[in-house]
Amino acid sequence: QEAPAQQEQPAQRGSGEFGFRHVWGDEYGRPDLPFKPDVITSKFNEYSDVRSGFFIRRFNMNFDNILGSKNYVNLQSQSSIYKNQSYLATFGRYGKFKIQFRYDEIPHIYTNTARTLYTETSPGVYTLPLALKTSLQAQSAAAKPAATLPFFMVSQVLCGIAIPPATQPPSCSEPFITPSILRKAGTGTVSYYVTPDWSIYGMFSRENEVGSRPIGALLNSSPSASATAGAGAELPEPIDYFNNTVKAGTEYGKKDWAVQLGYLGSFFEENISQMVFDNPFRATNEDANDPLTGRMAMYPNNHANYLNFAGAADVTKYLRLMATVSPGWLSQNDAFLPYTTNSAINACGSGTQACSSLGVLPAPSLNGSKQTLAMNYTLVTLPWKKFQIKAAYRHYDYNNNTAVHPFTPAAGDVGVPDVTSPTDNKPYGYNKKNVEVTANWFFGKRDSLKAGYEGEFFDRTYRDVEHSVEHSFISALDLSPRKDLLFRFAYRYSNRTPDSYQDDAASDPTTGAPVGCTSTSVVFTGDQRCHRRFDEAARLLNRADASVEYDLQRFSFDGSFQTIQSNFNRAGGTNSPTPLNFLSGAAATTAPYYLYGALKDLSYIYTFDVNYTVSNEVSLFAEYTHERYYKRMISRNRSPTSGIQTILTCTGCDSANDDWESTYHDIFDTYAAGVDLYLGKKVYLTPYYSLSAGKGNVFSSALGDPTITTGPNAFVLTGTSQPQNYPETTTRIHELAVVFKYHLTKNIMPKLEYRYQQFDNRDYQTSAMTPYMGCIGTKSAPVMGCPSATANVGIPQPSAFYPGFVVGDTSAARYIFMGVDQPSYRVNVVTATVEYQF
Amino acid sequence: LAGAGPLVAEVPSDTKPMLASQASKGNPAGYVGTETCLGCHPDQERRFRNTVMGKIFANPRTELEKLGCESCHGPGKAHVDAGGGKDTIPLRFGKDSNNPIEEQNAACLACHSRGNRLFWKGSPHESRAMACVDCHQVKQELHVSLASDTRYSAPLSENRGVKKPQPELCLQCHQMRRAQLQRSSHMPYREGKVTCTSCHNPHGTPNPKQLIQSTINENCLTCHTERRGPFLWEHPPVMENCANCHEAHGTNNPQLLKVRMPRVCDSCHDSSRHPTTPTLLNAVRDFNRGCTNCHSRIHGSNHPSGNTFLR
Repeated sequence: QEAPAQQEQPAQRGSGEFGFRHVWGDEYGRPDLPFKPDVITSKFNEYSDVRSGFFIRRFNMNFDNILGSKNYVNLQSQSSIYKNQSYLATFGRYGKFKIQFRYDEIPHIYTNTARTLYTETSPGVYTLPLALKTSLQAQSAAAKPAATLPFFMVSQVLCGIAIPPATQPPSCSEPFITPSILRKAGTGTVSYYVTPDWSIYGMFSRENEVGSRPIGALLNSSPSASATAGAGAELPEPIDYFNNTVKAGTEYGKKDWAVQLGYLGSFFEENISQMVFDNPFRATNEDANDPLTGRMAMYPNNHANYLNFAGAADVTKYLRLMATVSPGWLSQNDAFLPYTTNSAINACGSGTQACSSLGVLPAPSLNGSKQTLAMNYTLVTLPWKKFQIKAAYRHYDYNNNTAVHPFTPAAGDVGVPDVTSPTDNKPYGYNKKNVEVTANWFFGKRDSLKAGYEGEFFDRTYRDVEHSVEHSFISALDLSPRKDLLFRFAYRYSNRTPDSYQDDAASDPTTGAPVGCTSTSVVFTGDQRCHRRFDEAARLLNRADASVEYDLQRFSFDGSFQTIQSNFNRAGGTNSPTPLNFLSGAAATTAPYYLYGALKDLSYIYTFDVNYTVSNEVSLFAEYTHERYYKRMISRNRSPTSGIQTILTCTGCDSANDDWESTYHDIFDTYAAGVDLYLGKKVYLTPYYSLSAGKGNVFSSALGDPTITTGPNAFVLTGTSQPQNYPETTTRIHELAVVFKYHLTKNIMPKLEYRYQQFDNRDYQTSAMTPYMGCIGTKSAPVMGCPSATANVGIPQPSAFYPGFVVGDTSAARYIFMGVDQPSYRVNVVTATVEYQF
Repeated sequence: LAGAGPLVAEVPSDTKPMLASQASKGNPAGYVGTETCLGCHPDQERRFRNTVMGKIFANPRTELEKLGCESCHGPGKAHVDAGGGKDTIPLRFGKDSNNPIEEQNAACLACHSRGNRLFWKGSPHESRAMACVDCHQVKQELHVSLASDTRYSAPLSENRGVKKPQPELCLQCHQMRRAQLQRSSHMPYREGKVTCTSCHNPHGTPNPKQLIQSTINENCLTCHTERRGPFLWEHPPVMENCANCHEAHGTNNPQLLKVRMPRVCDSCHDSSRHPTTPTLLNAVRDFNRGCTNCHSRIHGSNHPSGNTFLR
């Protein structure tokens, strides 16, 4: 007999890996920028902190039987002293108790191309120099030609916006910022087995989240921020949160049953309650349409408390009952801010006090209150050995007890609130009940057949559909003709039907009577009478899954296919029974549709995975995934009438001839391949490569007859209203890694690693972003008032990926952005470390 | 919270005399005692004693634990009488076992039926004949291939009882998720700050998608607490289901959106005011953050003038 293994192999106490790394690379694709963004703050480090220098990759240490006791200590760390560091310390006795402390940091960098004219003078207060505001006010005065503002912005205010650095304004001083946040969380847990059958536990966690992220703020009620009206600014939203979480619970059980009782409390604190920012275009003479400042409410403090009762018991040898009841209470009672900072707006509430006064509010705070109740009851029975039946009932109640108050908002801190028709808050709530009955026949060791029914009964308040039912039929088949081969198939069919669909805004503006999908009323309704929101609409859903696993001793292959197909385009029921297309027959430009909104949502996914162990020294793997996503929606271009007109007397304000279609295509290909080499029991070598390639397209087209130019069916989808395809977006993430390890001694393993990562990003929405987009036009159509394309060649080419194509909105001439982008990058990382085991 | 159970146990390494102390004296009928097993299987013992189970069995708390090897493998008398042989072991685990998966799992559940396994019976993995040992291992060191090691980081954990670290363990079967995790817009999975069991309990819960919390939203709001509300002005699809707009496992669109702006909004808001227009490429409603350039409080606003989520 062998000697005791304890003497043969002294236990490892722990290990640590530390060393140096060197990081270099560059960002590319933004030659228009007047500065070179730092690759260290690029998307490469979006959630991490990889920098040159000494680092401790990981550390792990164990001590058992401390001082002769039965207790142990375990210490672990990862990425020590960097911003993504983690630590875990545990003290306990196996099977008896455990005390654990965890500390984690998670960075999140949003962008490294942002600049702002604003200065945060105190937490949440963003100001601009008075002289600058005065100049901008003068330049955007209504009396001035509108064209002067864009020129002034580009040539005198903002740095290097689409302008070659040599021609930048001399006063350029726009600071460069890196909006990012850092989460720091400490968590302590204690668990204790009072007896083998009875345990208790407790946990407290406190997380601090600090930093900023970009946010848009409009000084207007609509997106218009033209050269003379409205204004907007993108700002770094201040983040200073605390999340406190408390958990406590106990469990008691015997062989055939157990009960659990638990409490969870979650308390969110925001230390900055509001964000106040200067209107860049107004320094003096505040009026109802030009406030001096804007003010946004930050997320309010909130509390959530949940109780949980759970239990399970084998009622008989063949019947198990499981249940949970979990009530929750959500509350929020932060003091309201005034309607506006704009002292020139005087008609809120009763109209007797300025809207900037708290006195006109219907309540000092919301006193928001919700109660949730989750209940689950599940029975699993084995009527005979190979047959299992499951019956489950689930009830989830989201009950909103918040009071309703009348408000008279001053949208965007401008305009005159409608005091005659206050806007009520809508305490939205819902109740969902689910039933499930499934049967499983296990006819072999890994062979089974499953069939069943699921039903969902959904009730909502303050939504378009008050009640809907979804019936689902599910089936699955697992076949294992031999122990190393397994086929799995699954299919689901679901049919969701709302009892009725009525958007309150799709009603007669005079009588308030609902205007249904098939109504012949000619009034212009606030919302389209036949629009359907996809999360409430009638839907047929088909889902199919198939997979194969072939697993030999040295070779394995896995493949799978999945498709999910949602079809909202159903005739009749709550939709139109007849096609809504304006054109039909041979003239039709698209397939029939019976509603407005999402019609189809389809996905097809294929995966393949191969592993081959050539020998004890060499193994290979390869993976490939192909995904296709397709969505289709229909909308109608509608223009509100004057009030006395109907859809028959105005020109093309609500006609099917102005319907348009948009389809959305996403395609992803993901590849990975690598080799593990283990040579001479001393050397490990692993080359590895992966590529995640995605591209997306949004196609849009008009569906009507463009030759009709007059009358109620006039085709108006022209000019700035014409549907157009958007440029393709692509992201490609390459990663190549080569890892070399050498077993120098039993305890020491030097490691050399090279990693190359490349991110190619072509996103028309951000790849051209600069702080001022009001002066960006195509080369063939320079924006009036901006430096001409010939004089400033940088203007029409802000993105190397989109030569000749740029985005920018002259109607947003008074919107100052930050130029948020995540440019493409190439990064090389060489790491030399030593892993030491002790 | 459902299924949240005790966190006691775990931790590898170091040695401690154990199975040998479980002598065969006074064994129940058919049981031979651990010492007899060790006579032929010293290697197994050496590996086992460095596991958490091994350390717990060193100081058995229950009658079942006192049975040592036979507490999992069943009474060994027939095996001993036959002079060994795999087929005479009453209960063996893994793909080569002749025992039904239900029997294999029952042996594990004899001790591990509580905590977050309370709802294992009838769960998706149980009903598709998944064996505990498909993911867990009792007598093996954690295997981490170098190639896998270079691809994903994992949160710090004491759990050494699984065959691979997360997320690689789950991705063996859920291959499409592997592709999604590698997309440009993602939560910090690859960086090892979030992993599968941050949201899901693979042992089963009574909740949708085996989520730890009761609903998708309760799950998301565990970390994104600022968006929980209640708010004065709420956006109903947001309060109902974050997954109406977001794909948590990764997308190519900013903010994990399923569809990029402005179409993600247009698919519902297709009927009034400015959303009814197709929106030119160069419009402020399209570039940068699209609709949320202005409606930036789309998750809810507590500002009295925030009814259209501008404030």
